[in-house]
Amino acid sequence: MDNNDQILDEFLLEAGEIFDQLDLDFVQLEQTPEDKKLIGNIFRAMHTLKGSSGFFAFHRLEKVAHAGESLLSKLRDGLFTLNEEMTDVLLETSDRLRAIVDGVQKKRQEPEGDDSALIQNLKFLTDGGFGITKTSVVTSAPPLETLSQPLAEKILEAGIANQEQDVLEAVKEVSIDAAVNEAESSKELAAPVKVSVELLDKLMNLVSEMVLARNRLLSFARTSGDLAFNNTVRRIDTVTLELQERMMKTRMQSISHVWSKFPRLVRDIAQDCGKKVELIQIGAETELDRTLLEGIRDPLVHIIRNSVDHGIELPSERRAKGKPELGTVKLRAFHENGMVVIEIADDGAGIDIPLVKQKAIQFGLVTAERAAKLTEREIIDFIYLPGFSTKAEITNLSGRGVGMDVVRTNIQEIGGTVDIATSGQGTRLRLSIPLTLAIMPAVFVRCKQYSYAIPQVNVIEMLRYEPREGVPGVEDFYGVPVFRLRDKLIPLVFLNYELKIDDVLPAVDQTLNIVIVQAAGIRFGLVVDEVLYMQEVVVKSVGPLLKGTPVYSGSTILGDGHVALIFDINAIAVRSGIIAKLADNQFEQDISAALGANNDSQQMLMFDLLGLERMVIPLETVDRLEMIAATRIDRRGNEAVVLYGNKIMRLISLAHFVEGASQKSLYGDETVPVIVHYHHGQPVGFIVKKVHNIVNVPTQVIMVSPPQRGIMGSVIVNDSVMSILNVQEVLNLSGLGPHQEPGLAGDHFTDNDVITMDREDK
Amino acid sequence: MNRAGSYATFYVGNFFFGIPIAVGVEVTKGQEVTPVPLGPKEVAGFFNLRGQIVTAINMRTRLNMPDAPNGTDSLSIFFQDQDHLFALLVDRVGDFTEVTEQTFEETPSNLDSNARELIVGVHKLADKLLLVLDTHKIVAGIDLVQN
Repeated sequence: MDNNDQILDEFLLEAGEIFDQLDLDFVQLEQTPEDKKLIGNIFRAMHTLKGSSGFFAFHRLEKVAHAGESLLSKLRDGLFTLNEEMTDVLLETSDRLRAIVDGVQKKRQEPEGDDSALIQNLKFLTDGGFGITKTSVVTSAPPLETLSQPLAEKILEAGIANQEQDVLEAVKEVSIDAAVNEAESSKELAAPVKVSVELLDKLMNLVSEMVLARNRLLSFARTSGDLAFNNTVRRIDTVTLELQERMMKTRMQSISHVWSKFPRLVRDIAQDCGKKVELIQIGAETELDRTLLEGIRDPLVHIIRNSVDHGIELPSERRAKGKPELGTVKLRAFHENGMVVIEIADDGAGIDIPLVKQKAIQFGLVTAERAAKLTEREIIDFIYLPGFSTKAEITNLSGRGVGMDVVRTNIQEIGGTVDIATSGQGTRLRLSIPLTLAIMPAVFVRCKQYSYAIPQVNVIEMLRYEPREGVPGVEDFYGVPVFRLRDKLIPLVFLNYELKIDDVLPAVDQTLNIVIVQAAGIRFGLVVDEVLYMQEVVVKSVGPLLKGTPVYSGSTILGDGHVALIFDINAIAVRSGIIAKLADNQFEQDISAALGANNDSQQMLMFDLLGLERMVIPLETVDRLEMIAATRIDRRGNEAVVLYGNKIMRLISLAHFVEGASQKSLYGDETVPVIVHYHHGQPVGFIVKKVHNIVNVPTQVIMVSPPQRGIMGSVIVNDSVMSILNVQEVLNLSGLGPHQEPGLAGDHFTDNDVITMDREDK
Repeated sequence: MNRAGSYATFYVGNFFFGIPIAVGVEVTKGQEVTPVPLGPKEVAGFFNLRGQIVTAINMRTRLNMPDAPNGTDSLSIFFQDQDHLFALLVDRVGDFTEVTEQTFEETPSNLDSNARELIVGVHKLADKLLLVLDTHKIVAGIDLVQN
């Protein structure tokens, strides 16, 4: 069955449903002729039929539906009230349409026939006429039983004067088919059983209940020694699991349902803008919940429009850039971490960051000064604002600025996220959408005596922190407690404190159970009393009284019958305020990771020296971060050294070599943070006062004049000035240089980027 | 609201309340409630009634009364409001009481103001006053954004 056949079948199924509903509506309408809503329904049904038939070029269908629609629209607008005559003709219209559609179903094409009399009658009534001569009313065909009794009689009296043999033919065929039900049965639609969504939902609820009962049963089985009982429970377990999976399937549809319309869309848009664009679809069989599928349809259309209209360049431009004339838009869908990811990538010009910036300034969204300091990520965020468009003129395709804000709102509504990565080689949008909203895996944690569930999609990892000598634990970073995980700083949220179960922040020099979660673009650690277990939960509403308490996204019933609340990790992140405090740096980090190498900025590690705060060191010169206890430090001649793995690491107190920093004796009973740098294969440790996080700094360096020892220059990051450590100079001064080593700081900054500036001016 | 009919009655402090049985009343005892940190203070928490999530409302808090003295068993009176099940945690449950139209009277103006906004009127019974609660107002009047 090719694509067109499939679409036609869908149309036929839909038409069948429409007719069934029309019959009911008409009958109802006879009893309540004033019911505007009902007339509206009938009008919409006609309109739908007309629209679809236009698509398939079923001209008879289109004309009849159009004539019917015209009359209905006058009724709907209250210009006429329905009289018996109109009912008759409208019913006839409905029957005629049904007969034509039945014909189509048989022959896969529209049957021949003349509808002029019917259309004339409809027009006559639409124009306000009265009294159609009954004989001219051409009645078409059964099903008579759907007509009201008097009307049916009338038609019988008229003797079913049918001028349309083929229509009658078609109807006959239907009845023959129904009776014999073979031969052409391959052409017949294998009509799926229609089940109401409510019934499905109810079944889903029952399955959910069963899952819960199963969970309880499993906990009994664990303590029972009865083999037969345990076997039965295991059987129930597997059956329940399968039942649940099958039940979920009934809600699933492949994404091709939405995608199937895109090749045409892309073709039309491309043609309108004089571009050549090819659409590639990968993973169209990926399934997701039907309700979610509906939610992504419009956003996808927006995005594809943007890609073709804004993204892909004109063929001539592409040639000039050395790209193939034929642009591509690649749709890719796949499962990842229990989410469905849909990527829309084009190989066009990418988002014009300077233009976006300029427009943002023009629209008064940001001052020119501030804009100059914004990161790429922050600039891209402007396109999500309502009404933002970079298009100079409004085309009928896009440029009205109602794009990305709608996309993001729609996706967020169904619990998804949007992510953009862009460069001169193209733009990639990534939508992450949950598979379903009804059942989800969750990690259970304990706070005091109660269990809470954290959706597993948010959970990155779980860990237990034991305070140890020489290992940094929880530190303070701009008022946020942070934890160092594999050299990355993870802000911590103490759940008991956040939920106001405890009034004070707990002491941090104790064992901490931390669940690392990701939400709202940042990664943070939730400190809980205990991590319990993982389990599939059935999500239930928390009811109307928690509308003002966004930290819970739902509730679920535990195996023991108790209720547990499910956290909304996003809301917790927002509530705790860490987003506001950390967003800037973290976002920069994310975007640079997504885009790979970026010429306009580079990553540096921020640290403090005593008396000199906010120093940065290029990240590529940093190999590790360590905390080293002063007691481990030995002296070797004039040098301080420490055993590092199986090597000896030379320790350099940066304060000695950087102007402006105060020196302090190394040897207390403290531990010191050390930035480890490999110099010709040998570790060298730079002792600092404190290590902060990784920041993105512009490559534009402000040279300090006169030159300061140990400092290469300054950069401005988030409104503050940072000094870049001159690694090479420090190495030279400490007797380890000079070596011309590529990759060290100093080589990255060409003279063009340098602005000379007197230090006093700052 | 029909003023005559059957009421489920209960006590909160000195108040004697009734809610019409028509709202779908059921009484249970000793439910273990899962509290809701950060939630409205009137919400005592959630519990499970045959697979349905029930929001428990602490009537003493709702009426701005001090907590019940220790040792008082809290009992739950269930009712449904807009597709969701609620339970009122009360001090003591009374009998189901049949009343007639004749005993009904509008809310007396000298009634405690916290209780007044929640009641429809009173039935003058032989020995005491039965305050007829408006269950929807109990739910709707709770301030959702607290803390």
